[in-house]
Amino acid sequence: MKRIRLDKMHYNQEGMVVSIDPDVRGKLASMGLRTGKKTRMITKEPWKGPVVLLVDQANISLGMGIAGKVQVEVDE
Amino acid sequence: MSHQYAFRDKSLVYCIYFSLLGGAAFLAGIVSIMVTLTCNMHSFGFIEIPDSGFRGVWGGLVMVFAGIFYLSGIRDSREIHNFAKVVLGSILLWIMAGTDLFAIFAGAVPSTEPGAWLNSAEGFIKAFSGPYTPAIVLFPFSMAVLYYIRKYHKDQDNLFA
Amino acid sequence: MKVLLIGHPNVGKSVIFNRLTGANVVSSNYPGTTVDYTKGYMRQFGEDIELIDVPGTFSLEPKDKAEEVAVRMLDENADAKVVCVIDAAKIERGLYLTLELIERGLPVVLSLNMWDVAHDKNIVIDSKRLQDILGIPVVPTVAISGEGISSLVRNIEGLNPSSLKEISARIGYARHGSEMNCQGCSGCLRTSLSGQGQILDTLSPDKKWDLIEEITASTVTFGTFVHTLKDALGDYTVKPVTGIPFAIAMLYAFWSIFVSFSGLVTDGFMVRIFDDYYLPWIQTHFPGGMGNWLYALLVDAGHMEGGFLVPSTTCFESFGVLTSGLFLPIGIVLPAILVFYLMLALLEDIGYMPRLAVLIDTFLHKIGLHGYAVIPTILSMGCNVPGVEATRILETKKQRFMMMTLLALFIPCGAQIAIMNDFIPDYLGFVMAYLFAGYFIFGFILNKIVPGRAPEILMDVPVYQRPTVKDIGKKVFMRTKGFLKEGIPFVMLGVFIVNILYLLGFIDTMASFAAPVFEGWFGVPKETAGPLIAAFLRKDLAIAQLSSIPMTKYQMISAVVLVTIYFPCIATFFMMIKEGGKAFFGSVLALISVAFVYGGFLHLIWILMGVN
Repeated sequence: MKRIRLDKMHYNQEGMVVSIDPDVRGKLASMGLRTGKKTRMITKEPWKGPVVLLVDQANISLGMGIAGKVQVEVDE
Repeated sequence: MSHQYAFRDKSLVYCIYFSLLGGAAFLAGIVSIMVTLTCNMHSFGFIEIPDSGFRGVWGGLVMVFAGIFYLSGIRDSREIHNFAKVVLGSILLWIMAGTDLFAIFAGAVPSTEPGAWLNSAEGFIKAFSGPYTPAIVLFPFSMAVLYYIRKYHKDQDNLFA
Repeated sequence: MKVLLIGHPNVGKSVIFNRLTGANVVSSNYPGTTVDYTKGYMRQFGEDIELIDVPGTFSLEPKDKAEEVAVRMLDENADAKVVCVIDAAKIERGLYLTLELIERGLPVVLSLNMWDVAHDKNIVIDSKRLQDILGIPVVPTVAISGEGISSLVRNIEGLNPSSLKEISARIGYARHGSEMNCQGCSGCLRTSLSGQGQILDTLSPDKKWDLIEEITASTVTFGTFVHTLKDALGDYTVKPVTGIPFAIAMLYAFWSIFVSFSGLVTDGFMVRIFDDYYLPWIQTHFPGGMGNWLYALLVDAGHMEGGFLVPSTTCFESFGVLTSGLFLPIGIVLPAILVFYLMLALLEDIGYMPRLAVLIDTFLHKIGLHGYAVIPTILSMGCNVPGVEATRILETKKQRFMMMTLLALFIPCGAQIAIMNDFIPDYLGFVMAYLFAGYFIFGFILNKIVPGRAPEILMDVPVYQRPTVKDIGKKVFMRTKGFLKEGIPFVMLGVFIVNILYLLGFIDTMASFAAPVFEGWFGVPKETAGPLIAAFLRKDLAIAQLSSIPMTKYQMISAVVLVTIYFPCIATFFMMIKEGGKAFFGSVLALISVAFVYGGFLHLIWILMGVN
């Protein structure tokens, strides 16, 4: 188990959210992404583009900067 | 989380059929692009490659993509993601065939004679005969995917009944 | 009675709205903002009830403009009943909004929409139990088929607000099986909610989520996770390796259908109607005749042939307010716009646009725009006017300003594209490529010089859904109506003004002044000056006029590029004033400088290539 930034996840990798920066916490929560949630990386767009995640049946897209403010725990 | 299977069993027919279709689409696309770039119009019997710049190159590119989608989807054909690629390939073919047919339709409706509004019935129908673009030719074959989509839904219902 | 329809974006709220309202639907702008909402009426319980489709919002702690407006609308209509629409498959976050609404003391009925999708995904929701716990009516619905809608509506009458207190208590009961006997066990929700054995009426976000988890634990069963075909398709169309080819195919379809349709309607029918029937009719019936100034202004200016003033044979060249002024918007632009709006509405309702926005966001973000800027860009290719209007979906002033400027500069409208396709089809590709390059280059530059933020993308990517004919029809109808109301008068005004200017010799004078600039700097023959100046009023006309002036292929490309970039058409001009306010003048400044630089640059390219 290790902790990495959300935008460092690989394609199709699953992880559990362990921490979110306070300034984006509310926005992400209302879209379904909170600490304790399992999420899977669907895709990353090239050249530092947005990432697309699967959380609880919903697909959400986050800009790189926002994704960088989320920490997830993944298997090695 | 998901290695979902689209179908209960693998099917050899499925693999062969769609690799042929994929290969045909891919080839058609390449030929289309090359023909357009060399500025020759070619008619092979009932197939006609359009020589308009956009349709030839852009359209040919889409056909190439369709072919790639098909071919990349037949490996481990039961898996839902690969089936999705086959469906995508079909969608691209439908887009090509649909737009080609609509283009023929749009050209066939108005009459070319001064004074008449609409083309005669024979004139209209005649426009639809004659050489077709590769997409239109492959279109009926791509419909086979609908059968498999139906099968997918049936298998899904059974899996979770 | 007033009913507010509120819910997340893309859950089928509008579908429900359209089902309940008739054709008398009005789209309004929320004053002081750039957010729109729709209002209609439904006939229920013997009265006309006002139904308001509130902009989609994820929570009542708003994170963007649209959500702020949603909250304000709730505040302003405190006596309204609320229908909260959520996606049954994404019930947790849907419940968050629901709890927020209940917390405010609003009478709510909950619509668990897309119930069929939840079923397909093995998500089983005990709606009866959920109803008991929440204390509000809970109705499973499938908006596109209409299931559950009548039940939903019936529940609006006699709606009473619930409260978080009651909900927490009921969950507490569920845990302890009876009255609130607990004096503070660690496992009890009641305690963990308030920390003091006291049940609260408002909860912090975290506590709300705790409550939601308890609620779903007892009402929702998640079966084995099902990845449906639609999901897989949805993923592949947003992943770059597969999504970009798909986008390329979509764009091909867009373009191909557009060309076929406008060719069919315009060349096949409109031209005939106008040139063979309308023109001769009005030429004979309008008082005056060739040479009469009013006739020339309104009907036909004619042209000189062998020393004689000869009547025109097409509505194009006649340049009368009642001839060209009507032919252009109705015969050429209207079919183009119609098919455009149709295809755009289709893409939107299927759910493809967010994926396109995600794919493009990478590029657009580099120039400080948002992925969603793809919508005004595409709209502008139908007509710049609604495109500029659509810039309101962008968050910051800076982005709106940039978008407007870039659109007016580099995106040719459908009419222009149609005419280019008609008159100079071989150069169309190059012109478009040069324009798109300009869009990005100048976008990049503008991004650096204009102060302001560019917020990052954060959006929901919905599942693909089947569009309904009714919804698409309504959308297209409303958008087209807007164009007709504003576009046609503008064009007629434009032709009128241009004619006056020609009659007064003003255009010719300007042309002589400008000729050296055009010839020296831009490298186009001086005869283009006239059409180029007139292009302010109608760009497509200008292109047609240009096509008849003898010049080299490269000059033609320069001239056509110039038509697009040097100034927006009069309709867009006015729209920019309306939408842009003061920033508009900055846009104009940018426009003029860019036109010079980019137009001149193109000339430079030709010189370097050794052609001219």
